[in-house]
Amino acid sequence: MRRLGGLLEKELRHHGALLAMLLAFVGSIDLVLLFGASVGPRTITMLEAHANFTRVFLPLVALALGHRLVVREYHERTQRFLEALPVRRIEVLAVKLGLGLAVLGLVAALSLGASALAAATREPLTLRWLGLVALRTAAIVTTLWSALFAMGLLGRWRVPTYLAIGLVLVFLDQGTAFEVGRFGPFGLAGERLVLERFAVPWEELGVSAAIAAGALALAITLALVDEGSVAESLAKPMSRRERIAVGVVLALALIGFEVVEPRRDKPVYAMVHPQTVHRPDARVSVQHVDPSLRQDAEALADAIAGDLVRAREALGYRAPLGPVHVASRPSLPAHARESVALADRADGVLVRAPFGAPGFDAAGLRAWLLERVVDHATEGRAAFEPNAWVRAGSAALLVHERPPAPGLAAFHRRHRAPRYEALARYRRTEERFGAEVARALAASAAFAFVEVAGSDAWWAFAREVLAPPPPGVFAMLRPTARARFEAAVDPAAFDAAWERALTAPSDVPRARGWIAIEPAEGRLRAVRWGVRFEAPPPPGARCALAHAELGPFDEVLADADLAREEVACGALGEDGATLAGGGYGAGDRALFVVELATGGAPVRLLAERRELD
Amino acid sequence: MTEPLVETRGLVKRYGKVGALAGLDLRVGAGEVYGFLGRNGAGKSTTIRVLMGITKPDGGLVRLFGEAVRGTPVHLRQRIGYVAQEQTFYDWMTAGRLAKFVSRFYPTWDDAAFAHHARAQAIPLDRKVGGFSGGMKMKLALALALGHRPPLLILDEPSAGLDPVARREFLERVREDAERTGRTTFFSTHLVDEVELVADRVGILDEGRMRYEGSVAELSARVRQAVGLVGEAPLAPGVRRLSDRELRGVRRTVYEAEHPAAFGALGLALEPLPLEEIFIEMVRR
Repeated sequence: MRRLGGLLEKELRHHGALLAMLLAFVGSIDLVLLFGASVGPRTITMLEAHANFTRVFLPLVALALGHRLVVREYHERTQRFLEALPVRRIEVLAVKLGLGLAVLGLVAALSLGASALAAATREPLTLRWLGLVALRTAAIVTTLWSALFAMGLLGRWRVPTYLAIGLVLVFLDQGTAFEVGRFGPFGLAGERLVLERFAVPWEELGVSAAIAAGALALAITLALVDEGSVAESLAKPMSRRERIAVGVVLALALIGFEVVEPRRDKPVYAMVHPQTVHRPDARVSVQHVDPSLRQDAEALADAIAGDLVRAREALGYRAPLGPVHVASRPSLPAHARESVALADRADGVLVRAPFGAPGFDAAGLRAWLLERVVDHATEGRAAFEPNAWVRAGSAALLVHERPPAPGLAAFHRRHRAPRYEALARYRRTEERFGAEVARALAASAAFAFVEVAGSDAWWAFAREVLAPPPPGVFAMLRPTARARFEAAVDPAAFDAAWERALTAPSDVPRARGWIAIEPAEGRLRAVRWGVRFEAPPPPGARCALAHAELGPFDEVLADADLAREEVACGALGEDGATLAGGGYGAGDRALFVVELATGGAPVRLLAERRELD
Repeated sequence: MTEPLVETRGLVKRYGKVGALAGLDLRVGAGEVYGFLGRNGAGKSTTIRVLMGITKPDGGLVRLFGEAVRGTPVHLRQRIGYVAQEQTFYDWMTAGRLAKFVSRFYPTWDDAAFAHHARAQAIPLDRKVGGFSGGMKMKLALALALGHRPPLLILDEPSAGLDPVARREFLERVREDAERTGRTTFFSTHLVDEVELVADRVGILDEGRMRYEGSVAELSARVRQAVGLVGEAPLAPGVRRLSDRELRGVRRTVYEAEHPAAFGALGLALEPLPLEEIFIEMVRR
């Protein structure tokens, strides 16, 4: 014990300052994460701060510990001094292993403790729930430290090993049916880390224990075999030849990986309800549930099937588009669509829409679906902000014979001159004026393009912008959408045609939205809002204040993220309305949107990100 | 010779295909100062690493303090003071802190003994070891090795890298300590003058085997040279020719006898050789 105490004291004296700094650092990080969780609009539980810490910062702490406790000892060859003392190698190893585990465990425990304390003030915690989180965390800590401890003993080969493991995991995840995120320690650290309240993850725990045991066996073998000469020789600096070899192998692996582009064969989602129209050749299913909607469903399925074929031809995709699944949801407003995430990362696009309902815009849904399908085919590249308008414009060209919703495009023209920036900054246009206005603007631009340069020129342009992703390392070499646009069409002629297209009278009433932030009780602030119409609002017009608290980052908020307070426009009056139960206080940041709906999709009269004084 | 404190019989150690020790027999008596002489790569450090339990032999017998061992156990290592060839101390520790750290591993640690050796060698205990010269580190290593009053001191080429003055001071301190305490001292070197200066007995290691083991005086008596020999002189029983070569126009023939008396049968006028010449003749290919 005296020997172990001596070794432990040595480690603490050597690394004590770093450990203290590490604890202070992780403490501050934890506070930031707790703050993020407390203000995050999508936070389910405050324990999410602990989950984020475990996923991101715990591995970094483990890496730092592994470097200090293991790598440096061998790299500086001070293990030779220890070997000359009357102490067993296994004792030296055990002290380092135990100390690293204790520190990492302490860091994880502090994170969990802080999150649990914060959570206890806001939500009902149960012992079983906390116990499960602690159990998962303990398993993650043990597996992580065992693995990094073993890696530390690989000396100069540890970084190439990290890279190799990373590449293999990415390959397995993307190229095979194996889901890394559900495997062993990755499964433990997944979204269920702090959300699972009842079930003990026996399988993941078992796999993690096996990995930890394997890593420890590797560490002990490396440290003890041939009297430690293996670990000692591995700790020598990498020779130039080795560095070149590792660089070449890594580069070849990356290029090979990108060229081969492994694709997982995802399970295809299937609609199994008997009241479903299938178009298997076109990979379209429309579930109507209500038998009276059968004809509507069939018409919609046929139309979508035709859209998919035309889009594939026009955009030059090799693989068939889809699959597309549409489910009827009559309770939704006529213009609304709900995109649904498929379970188990199944392949396809699933959407709920109120087809068959009065005022339902089937063409609008089809164009919107095409956008989702193109996103799917391009792995999200089409949704990249500078490309998004091309996606929306292409969908409009495929579905509509003439520019849809010219009134909405003209509404935009009322506030902004038609410039390419409004298209390129598509997300901001959506946030300020509403998604349907942005879509109508993109459609008007696409039709103007076709008018000036012809349909073939548009599709050649769209094929380049909306092409499936090239190998990642080459993606940055591709020209931007704007550069392609300027090469494909005469900008002056386009501007003129676009301007003409936007002169149509808008059917959106002339009105201005306003908001006012007023002091309320203490630090609370009242949000008053209203709409000033130039002429009395049309009967049935609805006005709404949509709002959401903003986190520390300026992320784009989806429509579904906003809370809404809706009233008849006529009832607003000069003084407007005060947001009930807004709960905003001084120092908060929030997005406020004043919307106006006159039958179709709402347009935004005002959208402001404000920091409340 | 007294009861051996260190003994190996047929000691074998291989590193892959390379044989480091090929049946080494070695005996170091209690209270002796034993010089372990050999060329670089002869297996000296491997022998010491085996004795220290740092590495395990592939075959043969090791006996320490009369106890047969395989991989020297901790309780025996606690009775050995060891000075390695290369000092890999923790640079961030002061000499005093290092001594405190080392003391935790030796039940017989004596602060006064360490302080005595540190003071005698003018080691600054409050300075970080990272700032020490090679000579100072070696002195510190010796003070640490003697700090627990071990009955056996093992030094692995301790003077390598030291300047002549530091080397001489170091060896005199080892000799003086051995004489004062009667401590058994086993040190390896490839420098013959060190053996002459310090050792009672010498072992010459060549290609992993003991080439000679005995006193320095006996070694001098067993190897002789004939200068200016003409023709081929016949060998006598118990005598073998080590070398026969011409140097600057003078022929020199070196003989080794099992017993000095055997030289008489040669009937030649033989001259003694310096110890360094003897060592070179014995290990030269």
